[in-house]
Amino acid sequence: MKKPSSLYRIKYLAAALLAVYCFAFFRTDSTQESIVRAILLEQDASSWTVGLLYQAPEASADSSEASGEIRFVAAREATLERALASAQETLPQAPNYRLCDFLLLTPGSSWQTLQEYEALVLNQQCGRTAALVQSCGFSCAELSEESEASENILSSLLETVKAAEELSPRLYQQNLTAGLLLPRVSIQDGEASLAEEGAFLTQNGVEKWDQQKTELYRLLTGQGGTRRFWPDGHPLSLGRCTLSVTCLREGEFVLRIDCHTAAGQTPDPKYSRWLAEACQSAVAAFWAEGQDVLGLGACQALRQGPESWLDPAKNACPQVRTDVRFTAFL
Amino acid sequence: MNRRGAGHTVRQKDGVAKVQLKAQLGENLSALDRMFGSSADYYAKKIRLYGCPGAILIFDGMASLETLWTLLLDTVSRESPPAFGAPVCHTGAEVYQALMDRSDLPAQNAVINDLDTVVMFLTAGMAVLLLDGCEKAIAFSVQSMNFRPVGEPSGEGNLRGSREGFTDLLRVNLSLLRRLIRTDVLIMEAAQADTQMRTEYAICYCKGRADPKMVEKIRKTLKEARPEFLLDSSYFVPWLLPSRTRLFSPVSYTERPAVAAAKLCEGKIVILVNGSPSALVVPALFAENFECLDDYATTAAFSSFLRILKYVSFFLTVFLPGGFVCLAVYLPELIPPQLLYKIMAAERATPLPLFAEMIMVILILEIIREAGLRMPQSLGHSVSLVAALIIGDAAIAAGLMSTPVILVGSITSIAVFITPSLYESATLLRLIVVAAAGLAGPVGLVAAFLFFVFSLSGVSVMGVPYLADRPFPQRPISEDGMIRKNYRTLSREPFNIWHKRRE
Amino acid sequence: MIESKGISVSALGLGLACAAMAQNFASVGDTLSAREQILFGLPGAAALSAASLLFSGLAMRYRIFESGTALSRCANAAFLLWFGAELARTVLDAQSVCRQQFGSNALIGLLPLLVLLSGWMENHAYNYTARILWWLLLAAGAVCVIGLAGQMHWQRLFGPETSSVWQTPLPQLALYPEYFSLAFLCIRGRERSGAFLPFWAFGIQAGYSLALELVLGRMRSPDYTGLELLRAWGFGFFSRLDAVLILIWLAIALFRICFLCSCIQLLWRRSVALVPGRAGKEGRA
Repeated sequence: MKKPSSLYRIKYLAAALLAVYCFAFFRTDSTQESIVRAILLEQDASSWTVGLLYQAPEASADSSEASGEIRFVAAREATLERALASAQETLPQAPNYRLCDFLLLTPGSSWQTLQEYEALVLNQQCGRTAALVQSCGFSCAELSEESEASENILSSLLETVKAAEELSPRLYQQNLTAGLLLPRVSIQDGEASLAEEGAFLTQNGVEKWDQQKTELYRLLTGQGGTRRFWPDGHPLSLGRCTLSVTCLREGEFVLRIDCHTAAGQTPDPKYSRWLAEACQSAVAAFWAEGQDVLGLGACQALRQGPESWLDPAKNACPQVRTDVRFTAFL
Repeated sequence: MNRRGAGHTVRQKDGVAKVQLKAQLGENLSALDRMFGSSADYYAKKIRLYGCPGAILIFDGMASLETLWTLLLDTVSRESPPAFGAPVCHTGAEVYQALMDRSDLPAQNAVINDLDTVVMFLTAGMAVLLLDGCEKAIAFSVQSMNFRPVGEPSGEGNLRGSREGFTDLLRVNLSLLRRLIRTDVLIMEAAQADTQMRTEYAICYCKGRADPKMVEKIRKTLKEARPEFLLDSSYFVPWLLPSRTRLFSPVSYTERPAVAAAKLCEGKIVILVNGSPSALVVPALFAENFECLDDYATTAAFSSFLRILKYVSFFLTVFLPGGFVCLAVYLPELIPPQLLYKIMAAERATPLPLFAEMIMVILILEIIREAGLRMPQSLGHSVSLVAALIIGDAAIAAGLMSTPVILVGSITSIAVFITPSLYESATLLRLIVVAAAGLAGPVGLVAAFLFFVFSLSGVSVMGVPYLADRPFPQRPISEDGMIRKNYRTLSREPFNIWHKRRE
Repeated sequence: MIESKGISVSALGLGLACAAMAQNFASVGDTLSAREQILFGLPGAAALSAASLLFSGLAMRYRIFESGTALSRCANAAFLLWFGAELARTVLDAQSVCRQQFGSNALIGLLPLLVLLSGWMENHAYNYTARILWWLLLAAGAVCVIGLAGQMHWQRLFGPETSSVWQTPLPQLALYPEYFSLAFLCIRGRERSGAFLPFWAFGIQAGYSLALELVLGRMRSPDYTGLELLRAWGFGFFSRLDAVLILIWLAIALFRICFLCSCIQLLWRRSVALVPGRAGKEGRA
């Protein structure tokens, strides 16, 4: 039988070994990372440019004196992966992509840009598949010049991008639809702003839409917020719009839109008729472009069975009767 | 002291050797002189009572001489024969019988026939009468001890309800309980602990409500316990709960007789120790740490709101520092961006990593708290000012600490006092959680949380689990737990702690 | 683990919830659709439930795990290995999530501590802890659904049919040792409730698949794993909340690791006690 002191010695030795083993896998980290908030992609025929909007506040023990400085770096390489790696090397600290919620596509970007970025995100976790995609009217080089000239341009850009969250599609939606309507962000005189017109991105490229088409698309796809129209030059602001689609029989649908008019505007029946006609023609126009904005295919599949799913590429646009009701703002 | 050497008979009683009193007064007095003769407060006065030599023994300051003389002289003068009559000398045994059975003196009924019992009564503040020719002594209740008066305890504040608190004297505390439970169900068993100081303690319970087997178990445990000193009821805890490592103890303490009485009526057992106002209540539930005397005096909605606030504060005080460290370093997306950059800026300015800074702040706040508790009141203001200046201003200006960390540390240090009974566990857990989150990140934080939940779940005493046993999901919320129902509803089914015992 | 009342059904179910969610996290995009999962998963769960009930009945009637026969020793040994394999799989799942999400190997360092902790845990501690973790999981799940509600569109459940639903291969039935361990793990009298555990796992898997398809659609990229659903979760000014559910899942995974270690210790003690020549009979868990 072992003596008690030997037993204690063995116990202490075992505890020490356990502690060494545990601490071998522990480590302390710090918050000293560059928090990337948005990523800009620019693609041309032979190269990729990746721009990173990141946060790097100055050191300050007193939080009241700290400021959330936004900075910008960019790098250009032959492939997207190398461009991203180069951009990361120019960051002051290691990048952290956990807050990288926005993807900005510069002029010249295509559907392939989205696909390559998605593949990179799935591979390297440098962003999210749920990132909000927007289009910008400037290149990375222009943004770099502007940021040197103006202190506030980057903060203003980030604020504008965040303000357009509701209007932005998510990266994963490129697998579900043939086109994405992106809000357009532009910079001028040291400030960033959101354009009323949108940019429609498809496999064929980017098409700039006018304000009415943009708003109709947003209305028909059920995006939140206020929709503004100008029937006959008269302002019409609609909020809290709800859409419901009913499949009457195969190839026949009823679309009902209920909206609240803005404060100070009386719901005029002629505008509801105008909007109904506009929506009806918009649905047909979008269908011709390969966009099933109302989900008519799914609606029919739900009623008639999965085999009767409607494909804009194969089936003709079904009949849609539109009924618009306005309610005054309370 | 060699009592055997004095030639006194030694008799075994309950396995403990007792030194019997002798019939000769002189020998008894000599034995007591050897024990206490050098003590300044030991007073022995030889008297004659009904012609029989005797001696009165007291400890000065504990018994009232005036009361004693008034009592004795008055009684003896009324019952003694006239001065000019023939002197009648009675034997010690006869005087003993007369005083015990045929007089109105407030003598103790207990038979005192050994030195240990004599000492026990003397140190309880009673006067002991030894008689020549009698092997027994009589003790008189003439206590007049100075003790802290019944006042409001500082550690258990309340808005409504009784303001009385226990004092340091066991007998006074027992009387406070007796005043509240005025039926025959309250039993209070007093005994002396087997310690160097022979401190007296009492086990209180309500007959018919407390489990007799558990009462017997506690009685036996306390009798067999051998603490070196017994200065507080908490000294018994290692014997009552044998497990060595434990973060939460399923016992509670109170200094309020009203609370102790309520616990007794719930079937719990209260242990009081002479010299301490703190009563130990066993078994206790985790939920009781979030209740107070006021709870049932206010409306159910408000008291439920307060309880939820207390639960939130407790979890905040345990997990906020570690959670803050973990989120700031590993999961910045869970912190609002406007706050995140301030934290980042703060960490950049300070020399230590975030978790080391947090531990430093927690330790400094603990030092300040402990110093505030122990320091003389005259220095209180100065030390508070220095602490505030050092922590609040100089440390930040010097870049040693940052504002977010100090804010988090301060919030947790204050929040813990909303449940003072969980102070020790919360403080230790807080440090464990911070260390785990700092060294092992989110995995460490989660492991610490699981360890916390396991610690709580595994605690039980006498078969009563520390956490409420609610069948999930049929009855997920207790009716008097985190929220409480109307008191009228609760009164329909009186609560008894032993109903919660695991089979 | 002290021999006492037994493990509650909710504690067993919690471990299965962890395993089912781990499977969901790791699932890739080109597997079965939610409709197929539900259509084929439900009869699968029913079959498992019936098998579990039958086996428990037989095990209790013929005391398969308690008698000293060769069959009993084989059964204990087989379940010991099965629990061991399940423990290894749970540890690998948890480590993979920790590595991927937090870039941390701390779980490897904590494993010995978890094994030591499991040696001190009693059954009622597991039962109580399971209740608390269930509350957390349900609360986080509810917040997750609310956060993702804005991104859920029922239309994404439909798409062009490439083949008939009856031509798709049957889903793999996930077999967990808890299904067939009710006889020696479960609280006496609750074996019938325990037999419904396959439906718990099915519910979680089907629910997750449905939510995944409502958000990411049937036509999502085959490179997407199930975790992408959580990465799409945001609520209020928190743009990304996947870490919350992952942390809760990690707590449940650590719980399951401790629980499986306790089961292995129990089976080991039983096996040793049933070796011929050893006296005593192991009681119920």
